[in-house]
Amino acid sequence: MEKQTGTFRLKSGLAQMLKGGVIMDVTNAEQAKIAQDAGAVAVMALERVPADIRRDGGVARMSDPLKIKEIKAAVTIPVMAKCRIGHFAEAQILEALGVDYIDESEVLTVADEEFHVDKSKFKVPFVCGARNLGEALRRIDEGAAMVRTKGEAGTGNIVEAVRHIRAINREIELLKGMNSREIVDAAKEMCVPVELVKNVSGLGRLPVVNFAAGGIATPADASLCMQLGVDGVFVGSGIFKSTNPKKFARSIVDAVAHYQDAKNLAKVSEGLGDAMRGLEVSNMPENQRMALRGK
Amino acid sequence: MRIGVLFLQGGAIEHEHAFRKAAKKLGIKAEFVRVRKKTDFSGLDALAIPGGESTVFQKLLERKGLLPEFSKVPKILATCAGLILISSKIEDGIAGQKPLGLIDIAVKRNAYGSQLDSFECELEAKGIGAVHAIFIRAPKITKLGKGMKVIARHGGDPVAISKKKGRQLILGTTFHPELATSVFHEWLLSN
Repeated sequence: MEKQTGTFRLKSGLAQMLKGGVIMDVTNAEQAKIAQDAGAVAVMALERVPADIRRDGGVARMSDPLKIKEIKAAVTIPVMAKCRIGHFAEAQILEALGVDYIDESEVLTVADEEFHVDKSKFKVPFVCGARNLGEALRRIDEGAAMVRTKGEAGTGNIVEAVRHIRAINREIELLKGMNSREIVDAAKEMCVPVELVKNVSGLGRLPVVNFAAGGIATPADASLCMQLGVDGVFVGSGIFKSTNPKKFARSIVDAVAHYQDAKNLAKVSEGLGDAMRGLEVSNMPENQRMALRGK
Repeated sequence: MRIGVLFLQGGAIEHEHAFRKAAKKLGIKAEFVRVRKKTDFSGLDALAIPGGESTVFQKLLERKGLLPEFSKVPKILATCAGLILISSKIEDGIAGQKPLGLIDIAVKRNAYGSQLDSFECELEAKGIGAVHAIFIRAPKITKLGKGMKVIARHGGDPVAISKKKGRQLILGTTFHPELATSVFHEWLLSN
């Protein structure tokens, strides 16, 4: 067999190597180095963290390629970058820049309300957000090689990420008990191929790596998500909006690697300083809810 | 046999699955350990150090004081980032990244490029046969010390090596056998 590149196995394989790790949002070379030194498995190169995107309003787009190059040059760990939902031209630019993963992200303003990016056409792997099993499987069917919860980015509030992890877990549990007729119905309802649903039912989990994202602000938040069954975590605003980013970054890395060790969690949670301020989500108007973007 | 997988970060469960398959095939009665702390190392007969981020392994192991434990394990399978961890020289390591020096090789991290340069292909492995090899942001072995056996090459570069040093047998690959096969795990357990 000839040497093959850009296969689904290579795309999902990289996500498998990120398991048990923390992916951190960074906005410059200095932050990228802090993240790498703390033990991040990858960084997400951005112009603004979600909390600032939320505060500033306006249209949020892909970062300036110069920014991404600056961050790529600063670290040896994988570098991810975000494109708008459905904005395949931004995705093509990110692929041309040689990023290691693209996040087709609801944190940026939606570019296409009908279609997500056809991710199977790219050699670079994609991660996408999901609030429930249907969303996760539609993204996988479009070619996503990794899934994350949407949570509610930039809030420092874990409640939505927990809701999304539990929703996916619950729906997978239901699938496991279904006969083949019911699986066909479930596939129709979720608008995804029957084979994909059968696969999930047999595996008892998503066929790709699933991370938590959107609202993780403390080591305890990270451990909570891990104990609920995700494979790793993304931390967006939670690190560089805290009063002591170096300490928070290192502690969250330790909390994910040793998520079941409460004594260790107690130790790494000590004297961290203030976590990011955070926002209540329950009374947030719908037009400010990033998680509702894309379906 | 007591078979462990370093379970701090990376593709660990994949190694456990491959070891289970290998043990079953060889008819070995095995107990599996997810290695996270010092006590998990005690009595191990074999250990896999998975792929993942070598810089992260180093930090997590250092923080828990686990770096000295690896030299006591009789059989080690080290893949990709795991191989970087046990090498004796990292040509482009980040500040403070010191490998364990369990085998005398020098490595270069991400030597093929970014994820876009990750690839899969067929290889011929000596004493094992034809294998499907998956290289993900893989390192290259740039220098081989004395007594190192090359098991497989790709484009002239050694990509699978073994070394018997005293009572320790080490099998190292720059690719990910655990994503495609259990034949390397079988080789380790039966040699």
